[in-house]
Amino acid sequence: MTAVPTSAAPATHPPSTTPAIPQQRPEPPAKAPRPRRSTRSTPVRLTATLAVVLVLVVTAGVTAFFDSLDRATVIDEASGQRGRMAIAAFEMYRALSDADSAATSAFLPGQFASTELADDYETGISRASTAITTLADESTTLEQATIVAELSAGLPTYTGLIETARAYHRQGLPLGLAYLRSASALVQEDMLPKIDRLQTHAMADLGDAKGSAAGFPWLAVPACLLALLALGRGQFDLSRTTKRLVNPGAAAATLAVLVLTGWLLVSWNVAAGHINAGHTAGTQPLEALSNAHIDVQQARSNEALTLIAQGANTDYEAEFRTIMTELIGEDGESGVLNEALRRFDDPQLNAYIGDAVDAARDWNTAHVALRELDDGGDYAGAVASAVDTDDGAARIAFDALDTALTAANELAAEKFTTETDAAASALDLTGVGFTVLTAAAMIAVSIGMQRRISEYR
Amino acid sequence: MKTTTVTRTIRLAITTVVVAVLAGCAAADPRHTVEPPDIDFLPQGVTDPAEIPEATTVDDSCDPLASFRPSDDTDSPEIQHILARGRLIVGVDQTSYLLGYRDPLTGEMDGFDIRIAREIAFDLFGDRDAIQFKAMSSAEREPALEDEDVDLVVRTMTINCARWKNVAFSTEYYRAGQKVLVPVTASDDPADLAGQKVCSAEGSTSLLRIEQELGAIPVSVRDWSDCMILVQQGYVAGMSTDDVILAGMAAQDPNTKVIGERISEEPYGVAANLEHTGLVAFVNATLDRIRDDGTWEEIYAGTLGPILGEATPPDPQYRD
Repeated sequence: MTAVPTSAAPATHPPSTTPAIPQQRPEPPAKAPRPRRSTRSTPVRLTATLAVVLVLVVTAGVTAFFDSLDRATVIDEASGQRGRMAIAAFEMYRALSDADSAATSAFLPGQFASTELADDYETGISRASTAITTLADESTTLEQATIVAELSAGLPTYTGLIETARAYHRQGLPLGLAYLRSASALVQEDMLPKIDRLQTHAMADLGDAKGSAAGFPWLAVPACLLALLALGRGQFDLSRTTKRLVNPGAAAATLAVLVLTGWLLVSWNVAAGHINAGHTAGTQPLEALSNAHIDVQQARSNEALTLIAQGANTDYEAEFRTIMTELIGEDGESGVLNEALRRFDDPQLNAYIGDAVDAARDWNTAHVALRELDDGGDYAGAVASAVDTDDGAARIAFDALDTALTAANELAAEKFTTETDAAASALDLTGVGFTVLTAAAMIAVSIGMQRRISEYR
Repeated sequence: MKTTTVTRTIRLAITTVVVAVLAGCAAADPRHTVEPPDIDFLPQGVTDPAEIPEATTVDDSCDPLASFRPSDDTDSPEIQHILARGRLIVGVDQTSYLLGYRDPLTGEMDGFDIRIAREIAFDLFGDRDAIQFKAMSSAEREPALEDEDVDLVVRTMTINCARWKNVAFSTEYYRAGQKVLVPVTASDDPADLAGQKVCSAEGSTSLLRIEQELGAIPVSVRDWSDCMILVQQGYVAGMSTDDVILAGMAAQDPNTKVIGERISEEPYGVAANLEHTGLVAFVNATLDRIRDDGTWEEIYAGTLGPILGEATPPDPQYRD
């Protein structure tokens, strides 16, 4: 390739990319080109242009790289970790409520030998223990770690109280009921509020993390545009100097930076979409429905306690009514479940919530009938409604409600996990990719321009 | 020369990127050392020291133990109503062992109070099962009678003048009194509890006597049975309330015993609506019968007797 360097009109030098070297400042514009006149200044100018281009390209690469790295970190550590923490907290909350409700139901007459309730209790305890390990794993602050330690110490205390209750119960002694109530109170009044605190923190952090994980790359995009601008300007400069339309090196560099910019925008957009979806279809319903599920378990315990411990100082029937009103409202058309039905738009989720609303209404009706039976002297009939899986209206409705809410919660948790994973994988390879593209752009533009510069030597 | 410039530039760029990446990766990994938590093993609702209810001035405006003369007349409207219904509805306790409790395994009600109530049903219907029990708390007893939700209440209810203003009482069917339950290894003298923690249910007048009569530190809980947990856990030195309730507790744990003399007198009566004097007279006839035919002794021996020792039914007193 033979290069024919020509002098360019000095006035066309772009001020932004031209180093201010006073002694090389061109004299007033000449009418005719004067070959060789600028041979001394052209390589210097081109070198300076190259330096500026390189700085801007590396800036673009580094900001894009860090944007993507930060985003991936936030998704993984903040979104993922807080999310796992929130899910584990919800899981523990539900597991403990499940276990407690099953333990209480086992104290209904004739239920002590129920293997099903024993299984429910044991499953609940083992789920709660597993959730504690996750919580311990994911807790990052001293406060969280302290709460997890307290929960961890509370669980064996709870099971100890339950076992004492069962030992008394097995002998037909009502003191077992006192231990049962004491165990329930430990769960309801000590452990669950602590889990609730973890959950609230995790959800708040998750909201913050969502903001930064889905935020627009405000540094990287302008940096990329600036680099593209500099490359364009450099090429323009080069083509005027060399009278060649395209410098292959600079063109390749431009292409690399263009790809980088596009990749950055697409990965941001996809990740943000998944992060937002994980929030609206995952953690939001999970929060609403987990709380509903816990209420349901508590109502179940209260229903059992109206049959076995009414007359003690706690009014279990009033507590049942309060929870039921919270779930579906006085009219069966409001409350958190009906609200959830209106608020979320995932069809599968709403099918579960719809089932839950129906079951809650049935249960409410069955419970009123159950209380009427008990108050009317038919204790055995009332107990049968509460425990009989074939004919017990209250039991059947509770089971349906439990099943529907379990399915809804699992769906929401799964949604969150898959969306967060998808968001993270949208950023897969961006680190390596951005580095390679930046390096490629730098090498290409360096080689391309260096060739031209060397022709002046 | 030119190659070295290019190489140098590239090397510089790559170094910049690598250094930046390493800086980003060096984020701290916070781990925390947590002190072993101070876990509260106590039942919820423990108040230590307890809030002592204000001493109520003894209302001696009446002769509380005097009731209506016994009569097996069933003509009164309230008895006619019960007969027409086919069963007697009685408010009871279902959590006090030996007194009024539901057998956890069978769901059947039993206890001293329950068996007394069944005798009344027997005299009305000739059937001890023609009865419906409604479990209620102490606070629910008087309203239930006033609202006629139940015909009678047989639930460790102490006869006094204040209550006579709202409900009518039968003659005394049992004389209870506040005593103390302690671990079997403790001294038999309640005086030794002075300065130690003794438990009772919140809001009860027993708390006052724990302080005044025993010189102990009262600790309150929600239900009597929670006191028993505190005794078993060694958090308190003993618990104190009516001896019949303590008997039920001691019967469930052979490592405890009931000690001392009564530090209060609690005459128990069957309560009815204030207007239902005909029913009260009928109940008094039943109480008369069971005192005379040995049923009372039989019921006592089958429930409280083994723990509290021998006892005889209190003598009835009447208004005229």
